[in-house]
Amino acid sequence: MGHHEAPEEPNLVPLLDLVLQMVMFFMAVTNFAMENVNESVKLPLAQSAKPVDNVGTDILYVNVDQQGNLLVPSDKNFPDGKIDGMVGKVVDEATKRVVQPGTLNRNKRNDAIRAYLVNAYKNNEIAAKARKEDPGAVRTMVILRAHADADFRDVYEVLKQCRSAGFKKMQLRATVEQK
Amino acid sequence: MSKSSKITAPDIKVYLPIVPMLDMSFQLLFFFIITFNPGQREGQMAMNLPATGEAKAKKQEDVNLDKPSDTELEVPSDFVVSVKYYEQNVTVAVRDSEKVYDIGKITDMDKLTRDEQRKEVDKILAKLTDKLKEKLEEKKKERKEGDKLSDNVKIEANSKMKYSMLVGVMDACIKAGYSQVGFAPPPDLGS
Repeated sequence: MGHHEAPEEPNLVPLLDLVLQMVMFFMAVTNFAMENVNESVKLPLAQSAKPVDNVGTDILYVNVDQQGNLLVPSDKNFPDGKIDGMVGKVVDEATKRVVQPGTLNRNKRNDAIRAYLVNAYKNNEIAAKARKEDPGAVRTMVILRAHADADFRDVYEVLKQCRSAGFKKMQLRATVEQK
Repeated sequence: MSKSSKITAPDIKVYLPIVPMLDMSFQLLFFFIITFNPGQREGQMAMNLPATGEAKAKKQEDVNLDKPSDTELEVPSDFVVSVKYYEQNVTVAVRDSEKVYDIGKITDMDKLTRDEQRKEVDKILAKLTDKLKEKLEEKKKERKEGDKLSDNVKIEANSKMKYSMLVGVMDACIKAGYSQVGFAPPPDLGS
């Protein structure tokens, strides 16, 4: 009687190792918490832009779209996620879609942007007062992400409002252009 | 002879279900590959905020008469890079307290394709970098020993100028060696 041979089975352990390593890699590079970095903002190119440092937690992202609107996706006061100064705009609360676009009023938009930034500064001030080390000083850095095709006047207006709200530290974001 | 009381455990084969685990891992891998979006590399640029007036003093005794008044809103700078857009033409110039230096002009900007615009803009920005470098070198030579080199520059542009052009100019200023770059209010915007 011939000896019984065990059925041949492929060794899947190295394959599993490799796959898990790849899963780990993709999990590490995928950032789910990117709600402040708006993908609809196409940044301008700049060769001298430096790699992004770790700016800590005291940051305020300010996204400005092509039309000069301030994008505020998590603010409940603006159901469609932007401060656009449209008079007579109607937004469907359920779907968050604009039913009626309205007409642009720049002054109204500037006032709304000012109110938003002043409110953001006040919130940062409260947080700064509650901080254990160096309480009272607002160290928040404003990170401006403006669309490449936005008009200068709209970007300038946002910068000016940041300053008048009280923010002192500022940084621009651009797409790093290869030399 | 007494029998050994040691009871040996039955020979149990532990079976590790690798195949379902591998299935799940592949599912996860597929999900991450599909959602993976490296995008373009984002970089940072430091800048000066546009100035506002000094904060108002709380008491009359606190008023510092040496400080500039609220009407002087602009940060002083040695050079102004002026970028103008009118009738589809873009002009770039540098001015200091004495002179205006023309850097270049792009005519019929709107008729050019995006690639052509980019080429023309790059040419002008290269010239601007050279000019600003030259001016900075002059300042370094003129500087007396012990004096701090003020390397600030201000960018002045029309209100309708595209932000990408402004960042391009800012890029040229930084490449030329200026560390303090700020924006002046658009002259056609009014107060």
